[in-house]
Amino acid sequence: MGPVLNPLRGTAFQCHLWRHRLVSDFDLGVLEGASEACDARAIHILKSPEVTWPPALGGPAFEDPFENGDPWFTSWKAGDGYIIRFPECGFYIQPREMRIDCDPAPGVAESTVAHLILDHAVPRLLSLTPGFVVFHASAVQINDRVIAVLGKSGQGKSTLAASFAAQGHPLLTDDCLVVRWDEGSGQWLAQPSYQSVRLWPDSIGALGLAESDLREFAGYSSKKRTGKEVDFHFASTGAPLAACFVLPDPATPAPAHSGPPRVLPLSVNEAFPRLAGAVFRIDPSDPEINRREFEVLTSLASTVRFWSLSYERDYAQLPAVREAMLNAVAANSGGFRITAS
Amino acid sequence: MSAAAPEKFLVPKNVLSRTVGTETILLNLDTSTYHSLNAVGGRFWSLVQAGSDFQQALTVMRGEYAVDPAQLESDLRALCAELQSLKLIEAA
Repeated sequence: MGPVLNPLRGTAFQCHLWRHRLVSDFDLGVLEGASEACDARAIHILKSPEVTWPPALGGPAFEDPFENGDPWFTSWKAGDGYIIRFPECGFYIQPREMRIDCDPAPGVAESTVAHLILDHAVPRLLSLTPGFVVFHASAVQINDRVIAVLGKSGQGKSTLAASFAAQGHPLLTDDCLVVRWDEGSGQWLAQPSYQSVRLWPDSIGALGLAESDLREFAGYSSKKRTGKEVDFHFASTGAPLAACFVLPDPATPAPAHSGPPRVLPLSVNEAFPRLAGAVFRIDPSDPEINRREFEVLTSLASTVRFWSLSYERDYAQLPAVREAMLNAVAANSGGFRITAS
Repeated sequence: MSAAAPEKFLVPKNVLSRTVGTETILLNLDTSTYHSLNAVGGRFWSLVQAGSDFQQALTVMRGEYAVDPAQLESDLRALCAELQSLKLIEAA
């Protein structure tokens, strides 16, 4: 047998995120993770063809279609993990190995792959990891605590969070809130995400940002991602989740809001379905996942205060919305100082 | 007062519950469905979990709530029927 030259992997892209070290075959961009200490295992993200993955076991475990019914996200149990598929990219998520295999379709933009890894694949791996729960929510830090906004895509979570960040309140995340059990303090801590916000073009202008300071977010979206050029404040460490503001459920049509922002306390019974509905899911029928999620959600529900939040969809309302939220929290928790701007 | 309905219930192992504040959250692991009970429903749930049969729970709650006894029994029987239909409790 003659000499053999085996291809070796090139220098992997690395960054720290959600207290994990991400080691990736894919360039995840120049996003900066939080400076918080990284004390957990590495998550390896490898490029590998789907034909090498174990076969899906049975039908889909979870499907989340677009509004027109076309598939957006589908998951299948496979081997020790899950295959998840988006229109332009498939992943094999292995929580025991802390490994994500990725097989993008030919020609898919790098930004799209990076977005699907950072905002979908890694959060779902963490959602399968004991001690973590992941919500579709934006979050900002007010003094030493965190307030979150729960709502569907397009309801203004990111814009609201960005408006807090522009006023000096450290931002944890615009869409993906990772909450981690901290053994040391014996409480659930909301973790900072990467230091960027995704915004629609009209929000960029309304927040007074220059579009040239933002970069492509994903090949299929007109949203843009903020970079270092944007002077936002970002959280550097985790903090207890103290309050959740719940935006109106789009599935329950209500008259358009007019007048000042409305903040109303929610009972646990009222808030719990929205909290549970905001969890990143991969297999809603798995009893062990559900058992773990139940423990986390009920634990959070016993310590977090909930409010409904409705306001006129007018950017000029943002200062009043921020003030209403801060006033509600200050009046009910006693642990906040009002620093509305 | 009806005496025909099942009087003793069990909470299946696949049903989880936790009281949060004055409310009780239930999860049926077989259906992956969350449910909630208000304070009155939660009190009945806690008594069933503790091993009380229907009459024992009814007696305790009659002493705790200033409501019409017949109405309370009617409401609790309706709650039992709903909990059974959702497989959150089963006849012992």
